[in-house]
Amino acid sequence: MRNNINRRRFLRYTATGGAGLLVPASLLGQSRADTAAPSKNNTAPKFEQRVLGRTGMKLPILSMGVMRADNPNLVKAAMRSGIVHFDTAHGYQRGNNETMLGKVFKDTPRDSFTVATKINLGRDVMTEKAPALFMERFNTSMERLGLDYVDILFLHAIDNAAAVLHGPILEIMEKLKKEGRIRHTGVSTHKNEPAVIDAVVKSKVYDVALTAYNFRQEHVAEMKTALARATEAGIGVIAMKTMAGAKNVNVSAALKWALQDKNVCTAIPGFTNFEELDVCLGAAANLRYTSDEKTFMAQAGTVPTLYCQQCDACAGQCPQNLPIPDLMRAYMYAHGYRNPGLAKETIAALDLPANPCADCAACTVHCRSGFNVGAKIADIARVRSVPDEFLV
Amino acid sequence: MIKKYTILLLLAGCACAARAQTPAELRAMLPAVDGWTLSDKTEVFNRDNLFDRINGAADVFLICNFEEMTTLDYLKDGSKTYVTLQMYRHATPADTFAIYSAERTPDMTFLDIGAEGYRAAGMVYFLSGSMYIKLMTADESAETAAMMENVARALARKIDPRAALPAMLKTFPAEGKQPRSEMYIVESFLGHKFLNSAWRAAYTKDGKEYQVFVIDGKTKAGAENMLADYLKFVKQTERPEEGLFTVRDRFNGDIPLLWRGRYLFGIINDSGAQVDAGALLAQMALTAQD
Repeated sequence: MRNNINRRRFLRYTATGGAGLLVPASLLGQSRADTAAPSKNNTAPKFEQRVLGRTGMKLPILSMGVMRADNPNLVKAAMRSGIVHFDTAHGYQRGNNETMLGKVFKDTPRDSFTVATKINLGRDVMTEKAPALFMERFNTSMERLGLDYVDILFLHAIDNAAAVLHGPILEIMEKLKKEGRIRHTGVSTHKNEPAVIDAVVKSKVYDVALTAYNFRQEHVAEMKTALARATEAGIGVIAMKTMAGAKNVNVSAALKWALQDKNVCTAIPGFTNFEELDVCLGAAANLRYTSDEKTFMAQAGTVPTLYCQQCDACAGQCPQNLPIPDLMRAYMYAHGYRNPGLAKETIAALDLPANPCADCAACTVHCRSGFNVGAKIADIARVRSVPDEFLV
Repeated sequence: MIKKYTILLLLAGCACAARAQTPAELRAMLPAVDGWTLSDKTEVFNRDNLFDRINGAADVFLICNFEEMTTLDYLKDGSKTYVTLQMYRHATPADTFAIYSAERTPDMTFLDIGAEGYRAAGMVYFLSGSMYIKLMTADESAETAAMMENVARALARKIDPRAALPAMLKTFPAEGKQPRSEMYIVESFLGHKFLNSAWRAAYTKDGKEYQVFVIDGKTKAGAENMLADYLKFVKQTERPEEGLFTVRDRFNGDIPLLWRGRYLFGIINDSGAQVDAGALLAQMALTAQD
């Protein structure tokens, strides 16, 4: 692992610590906010850069998932901090995210950044109307972004090989590439990722896989081998959902975990403030874990989530045929959302026996998320005896 | 005694109106429609698995204190046409307005459904209290569009017939305001982790755009703390005191800011629009106090 800046130098480069010191000349003069920043040193931090497969794009390992940001000045700060690749999607904030990015790009030299957007066709991806829908959404996205071309266009949120290999969409991707409206093509996936990534390799059309990749994935070993196969085949890999979609995550450790895999070219964490940007910059500048991060990662796999996945894998396991997912949801209402009133309403609708677990000495339900189902039922069943006036 | 009971009844009424709907209740609220059948399956998503249904768009919902999404379909009899309902519940009406306003664009056809709604090709969306409802279809026929609007109206009446937009929007003066530009930003306003619960609207003057905002500190001490954090961040040494001053924010430019009670009022003016900041912010402070 090559680290191009050390911690002390890095602190000078961070968004909050050294903001404005890093402004490339090409990015100056966009707004009063930019010009307000002091500019005494324009030495940008040099993150490790990796090549995005056969696209040949050389990207810093840290990019920006813009989906959660609504402040153009945060995007500009990211640019000033050395980030060059920005990821959005047709559907984020129903297009307002692309529009916001378009305003930033308007005054920014086109060769100083790269951008990816994504088109989601949902359940219509395999239907006859898919090509027309795709083109309509793509054209709208290009208008919002105000660009002649995007660097990567993703078919978004795919969870099966058939959709990756669907001929009409492949034809559109190739046509747009020939027309110069997109430079590279890709598929994004949050579910059944290994199979989707293998289909991307098989397609011979797509260049990039944008995939959920984090330390909490149950199939992480399978993911690692899928990414290796993709890299071997010349597919560029971009990691998303590196924070595992959860709160109370050590952001720096989670990001490092993904980037330590050399098959990942870059990651797109969705920071929303300058402090989070700094944390991501710090992580990308030095991928080795600190002692705190090592501790977090060592314990990470043992921290159970509070939220029932409603996967129904527990269906039929309970001898009393209790509606386990509904009960787990009620538990979540009470303990996750601090809304015991809603928990009580939910349980009342289930018509449970007075003591639902009375006939069992021990709970035989095995939960994939590691819930102690029996204990949670015993806990939440008590809410029925609490008078409503205490539950508002 | 009567007064005490009246207050209790009012409180009970408020609690009732603000009560969140369970997935089963929401399903029961949906009207029967001739020629359409509700899908048997009602799917429910929470904070942990919303990604499974709406992918990366989930991020913004989570920031806006999303709690639960209930989804099911109306299936058109004898065809493959369907209308999908996604019914999102957030922690508070303000949180719901945050996500609604993040997705709203002023070019839609707005409808008097719930607190506010709109339609576009293949969609009808509306807001009511803590619920944000989306009806979507790939069938763009007029018949299906009418059916969606009817379902939305019926559902909105059941959720809350008196639904209204957040009262905080009245703080923004009408003159120069861009229609339906108001937003609520739950956290990290202006990209600062310490600035939360901000209401913002866009304005135009002489062709130049600027934005006006009000941050609700919930209490006077809360506003003071946020302001102190802000001044510390920008390395301004003055002690926070109620009144008007300028925050020199190296990321967002110079921000005229007025602290009054629990609120911080401010202007983001990148374009250099000629605005009498003191008068505008004082006017807002008066309205907020009312």
